[in-house]
Amino acid sequence: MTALDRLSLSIPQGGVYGILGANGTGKSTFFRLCLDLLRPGGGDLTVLGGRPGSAQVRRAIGAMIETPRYYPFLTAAETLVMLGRASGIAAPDPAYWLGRVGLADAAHRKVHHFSVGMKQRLGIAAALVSRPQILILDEPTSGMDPAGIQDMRALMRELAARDGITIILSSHLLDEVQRVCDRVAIFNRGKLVAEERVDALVAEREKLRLLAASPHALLAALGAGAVPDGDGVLVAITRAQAPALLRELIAGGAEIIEARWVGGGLEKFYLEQTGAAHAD
Amino acid sequence: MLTDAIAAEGYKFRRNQSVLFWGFAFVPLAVLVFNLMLETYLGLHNPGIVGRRAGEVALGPQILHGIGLAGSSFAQIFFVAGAAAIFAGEYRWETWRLLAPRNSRINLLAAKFAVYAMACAASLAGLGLGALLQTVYGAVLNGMTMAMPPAAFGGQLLGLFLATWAELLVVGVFTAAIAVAGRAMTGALLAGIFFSFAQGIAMAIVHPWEAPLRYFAMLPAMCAYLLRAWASGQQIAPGVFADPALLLPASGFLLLWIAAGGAVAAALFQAQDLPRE
Repeated sequence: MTALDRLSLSIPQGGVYGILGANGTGKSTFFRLCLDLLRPGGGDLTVLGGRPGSAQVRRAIGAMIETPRYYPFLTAAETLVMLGRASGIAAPDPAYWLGRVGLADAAHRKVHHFSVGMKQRLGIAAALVSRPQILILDEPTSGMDPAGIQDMRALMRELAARDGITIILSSHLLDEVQRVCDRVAIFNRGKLVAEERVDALVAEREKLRLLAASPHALLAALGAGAVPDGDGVLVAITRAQAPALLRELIAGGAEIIEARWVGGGLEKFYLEQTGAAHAD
Repeated sequence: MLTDAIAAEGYKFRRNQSVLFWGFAFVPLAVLVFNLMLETYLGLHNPGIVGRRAGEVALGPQILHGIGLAGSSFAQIFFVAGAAAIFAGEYRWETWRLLAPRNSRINLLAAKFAVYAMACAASLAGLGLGALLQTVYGAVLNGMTMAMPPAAFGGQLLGLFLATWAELLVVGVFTAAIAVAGRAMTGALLAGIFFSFAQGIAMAIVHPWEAPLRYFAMLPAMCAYLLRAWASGQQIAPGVFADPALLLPASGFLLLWIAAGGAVAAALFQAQDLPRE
């Protein structure tokens, strides 16, 4: 079985890059190969122009793969010091990184007692302690509560914007990917089937749904650009065109009750791509 | 770099108090406490034991004997436990995912060997120091005088220390290879203990003073025993001393076992997938 088939991925520097795909499509295999945790059964793999496991690649990449495990006898700060030293950082700064992930108060507690969310945060701090250019996060919000997920999203955006770190995120939560990522790639059966800017693919697919007192009058006013959708009307326009259209309709006497964007979620695009690939 | 991996492994090891104690501190401490209690008992309750109230005690042989205790299979249970915890710890705690992307695999494994070797050396030093304390305590308690070691003692001590250390390293690399192959701490522990006891039993059957060379190749513990006996100038049987012709092969076999065990562990680890430990 070929886990990854002639996969070539160009990830732009900076920002958050999402990788989507069903279970078993090769996402985790891809990450583990990049981190030298898996040895390819055949073929070649080049990451950042180097071989995975080379000093150059190791220095450039930090990662948190699923819910990380830790040594039960070390505290959070000791864990970061130990991992920092293994990475060649003579003086790791655990207080700074634990502060960045909101674990400053737990620095001297044994990791054994941490909740899943705290372990995820510590995993990010552990990945960052060697100051990598690229941060791989595989299901970083798995097992976290809603508040923790929100904090994690904010942290990812902050790391990309403030620290200039390129984040590669894998998640099954399409809403999360849509909110956080700048670009997204979709894997299916070990192949890259789509790659797109998130805002562009959302804009391509979203429509303005209008609910008016008289849908028939609204349809007549909008002409060929509109189609009925239950008790409302769908209009295929861009967000920039929306204010002018609404002004025009109201000036023409239309009684608009509701106007909202629908159909622009990542989910539809994802299902289109993976569904098409299944049909092959 | 290897120095980074050793720094990280050493930092982690120093904080793993249960491994530190049971693996490497317990044997010297237990031997010291037992001997001090024995000296106290003999000194206070059996003052009439022949030969204990008069004469002198030789410090050198006592220290050599103390260090040589690490060659016993019972003492090696604890060293094997320490080795299993060091080499199989990442599988036990599923932490290779944290460590492996940070340094080369060879460096990470070599760092574990280095830490185990240093811990064994410290433990042997502890046994020697314990023997010194016990001898001084016993001499004072029993009113005996102490005979200072001769000038040649330094060489004897070094030879015996190295032979015993090499034996512990053989046990360590064997445990490491099993730990990597089996990815389990319990398996490594049991295999290491079996390895040590099997050699002990074999040595009771195949006597070192009459065993052919190939038996020495198969039994690193016998090589270490022979080297210890030679270094300390002790008889291996009544009236029989270590054959000098066997010293070089015995040293070579010990080094070969260390190199082979380390190479097997390293080769297995290099090829190993670590998606889950």
